[in-house]
Amino acid sequence: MTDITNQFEFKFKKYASFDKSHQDSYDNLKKQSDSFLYGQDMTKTFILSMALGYYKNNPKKISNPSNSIPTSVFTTEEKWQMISLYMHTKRNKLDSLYEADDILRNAEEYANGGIEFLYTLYKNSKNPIEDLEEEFRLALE
Amino acid sequence: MTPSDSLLIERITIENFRPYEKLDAVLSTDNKKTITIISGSNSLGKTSLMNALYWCLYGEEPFFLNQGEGKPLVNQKALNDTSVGKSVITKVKIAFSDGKRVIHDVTRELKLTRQHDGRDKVYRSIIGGQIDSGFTWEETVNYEGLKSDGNWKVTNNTHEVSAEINRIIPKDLSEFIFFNGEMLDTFFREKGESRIRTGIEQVTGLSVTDRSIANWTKMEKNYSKRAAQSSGMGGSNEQDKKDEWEEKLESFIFQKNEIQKQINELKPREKELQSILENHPHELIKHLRQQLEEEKEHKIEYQKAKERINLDRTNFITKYFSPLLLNKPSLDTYQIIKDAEIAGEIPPPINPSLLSEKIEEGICFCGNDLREDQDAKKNLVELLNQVKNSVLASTAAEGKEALNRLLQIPNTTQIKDILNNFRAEFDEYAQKFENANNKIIGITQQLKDYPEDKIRELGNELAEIHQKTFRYHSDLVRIEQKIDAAKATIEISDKKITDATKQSKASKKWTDKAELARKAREILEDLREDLLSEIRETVEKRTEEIWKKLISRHWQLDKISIDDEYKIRVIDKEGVDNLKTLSAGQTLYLALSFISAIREVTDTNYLMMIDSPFGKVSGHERIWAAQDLPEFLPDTQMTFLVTNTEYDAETTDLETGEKIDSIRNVLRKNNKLWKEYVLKLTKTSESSSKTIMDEVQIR
Repeated sequence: MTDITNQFEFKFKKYASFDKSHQDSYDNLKKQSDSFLYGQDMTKTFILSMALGYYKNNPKKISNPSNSIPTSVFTTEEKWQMISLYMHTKRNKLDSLYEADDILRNAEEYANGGIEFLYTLYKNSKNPIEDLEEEFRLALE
Repeated sequence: MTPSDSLLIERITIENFRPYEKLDAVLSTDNKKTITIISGSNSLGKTSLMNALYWCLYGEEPFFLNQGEGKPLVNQKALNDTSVGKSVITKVKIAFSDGKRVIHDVTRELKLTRQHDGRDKVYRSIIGGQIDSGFTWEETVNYEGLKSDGNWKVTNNTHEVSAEINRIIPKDLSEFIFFNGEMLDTFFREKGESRIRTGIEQVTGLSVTDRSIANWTKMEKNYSKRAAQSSGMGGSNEQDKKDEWEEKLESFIFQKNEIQKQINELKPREKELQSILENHPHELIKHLRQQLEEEKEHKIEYQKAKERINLDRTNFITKYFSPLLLNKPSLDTYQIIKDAEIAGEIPPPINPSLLSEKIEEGICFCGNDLREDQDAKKNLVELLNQVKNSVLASTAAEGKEALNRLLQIPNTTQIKDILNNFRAEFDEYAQKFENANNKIIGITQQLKDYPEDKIRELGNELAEIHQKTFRYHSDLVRIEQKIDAAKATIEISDKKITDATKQSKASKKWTDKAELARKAREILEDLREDLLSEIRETVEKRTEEIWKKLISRHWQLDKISIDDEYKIRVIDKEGVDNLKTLSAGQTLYLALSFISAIREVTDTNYLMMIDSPFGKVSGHERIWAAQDLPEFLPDTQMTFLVTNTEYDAETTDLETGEKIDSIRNVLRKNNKLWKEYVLKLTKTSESSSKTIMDEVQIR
């Protein structure tokens, strides 16, 4: 029998966080029927916020972490979006994969910056879906 | 031919009538300067002045288009100032003159007394509007007329006064004398021609002939009765029977006429309601209902589509938004993994457990037996070591796959196309809904003037009228049967009486007298018919003559025809009636020609008072009218009630650019103006004002 016990396993800590001050933003985006993220998982809001935080170049440190999003529910693609963001913004080396905690923290900071934009977009809009599409189209240009 | 009698208004005195607290106006009795002008802005009381005169004569105010908007004819301020126990008197007095002296005085008074402060406002037809329910009222009318012996006839008996007024200005002709220029368009079209005939009969003395005919009929009957009585018992009894049936017949005919009157009274309203309801767009409402159904379906379809498209669109955007934004990091990371693979930093993504299993089984991936193919076994063992040594291999392998998926997003053009498709699909449903909605708005717009409740109410009213008319017609049939039966009985009695009287010598004297009376009646009836026909022909001829004189300079129109019922037609060369297509100016001329003809026939030089004579007439027609009026009606007292604009405005001919003079200048130039009055509004307190009349100096 070949020994494979020393196989590396990439693993995030148990919960991802957003700043507790954004609890309402996350809740409303999920619960309000006119929201573009109505009924979606928290992870989706988190990843979109992270992507927007990156797009707007607005990472923000979290002062009061929520520890509320189980990392086990992120899909493989979402996990690799976080890894990619880390490699792109911090260390573009493969051994960054050893730094799972830093990858998650980086993702949380970008998501923390992005959620502000995302929620403002929703809150200040008469037609949030229309306005999100406009942002989407702008990003395409 | 100039009429021998003149009827002019010398003075009008008004107290507390509508906007007037007090007004004393003297009109022209000068046979050279015949025109008096009363000018004023709109709402200052010109029409009220006409109404005051009409009210004084006939107790009605016909010249309001909207019945005085529900306001009482009593001056509002005077009414408000009347405390409990006090009275307010509205009074209009007209002094008629023959040009030399006053010959008739008519005064109508309405006295309102406030008995208490009423809680409600109630409509009183006698005062033409709504007043406090605490008022009681009393109306009196007085006539004073100069008799041929130089004495004055004075009466306040309503019927007598009414008869006198009808003698001097028959109500049926009054609208030709008190003339509303604003209603010129519909003047001849809406006139009750039979009323004109009645009016003419009244003023031409035909009513005297009618009374004679009635008397001769009565005499004939009396003589016949006497003849029957003197013929003996049989004849006498038959006469009694005949009398009895004649009485019955009279009563049946009265009943029939009453029923007919009721039917006739319903007719105008029936016609009016039918016209309103015919114009009412039932079809439009049906269409609206269909459209509303369609709109409802489109709305549901639109809502469902909106939800579905928005969901698809949101899912699409949220699915690709983060991969799009993170495209660069993902691409970089993918490249890092690939570079590491090439550099041998990580082995190909193969599971070490699978490699171990293959080595232990002794069978290669390619199927070779590893016990025989030692090289292959060596390679696999090397690979296993390499993989075991690379701690990142499986994670990198997972990353490569995941990133590959993330990078498989549609390109920019494809994304835009998909987003545009969402919009197009959404717009298509929105457009359908909007179209359906617009159709409804369009129909609703058309229906705006047709309140459903009101239409339903009118429909019910028409149904009631139909029911009543049906009932009256049934009654009419029954009463006609009774009339026929009565006539038959009378005829039989007549025959029996004739037989009896023929045989009796004593009856002969009375039979001869009855025969004479019959002949006298028949001659009078013939004369009456001839006279009527002659009058009509004279009116027709004179109207046409005057009309042609008046219009010959301006228009090419041919013949005037007036039928037995005094219905006027303006016939062109093709024999077509042009009455309905006459311009306002032509209609004014036609009305004036007709009045002139009647003046000649009745031998009375009636006054004319015209409200807004030029209001509906424009351009050169106005000037022609102003020039022609005094020329063709030279000795007629004319009072024009005009607006300032109507009177003072100088205009320009739109076609030629030629300047058109004002009516004022035209009338002043031809030296026919006697006096000009101007109506003004003066404040009596903070909240009320009154109309006063000032004389204007004519320079």
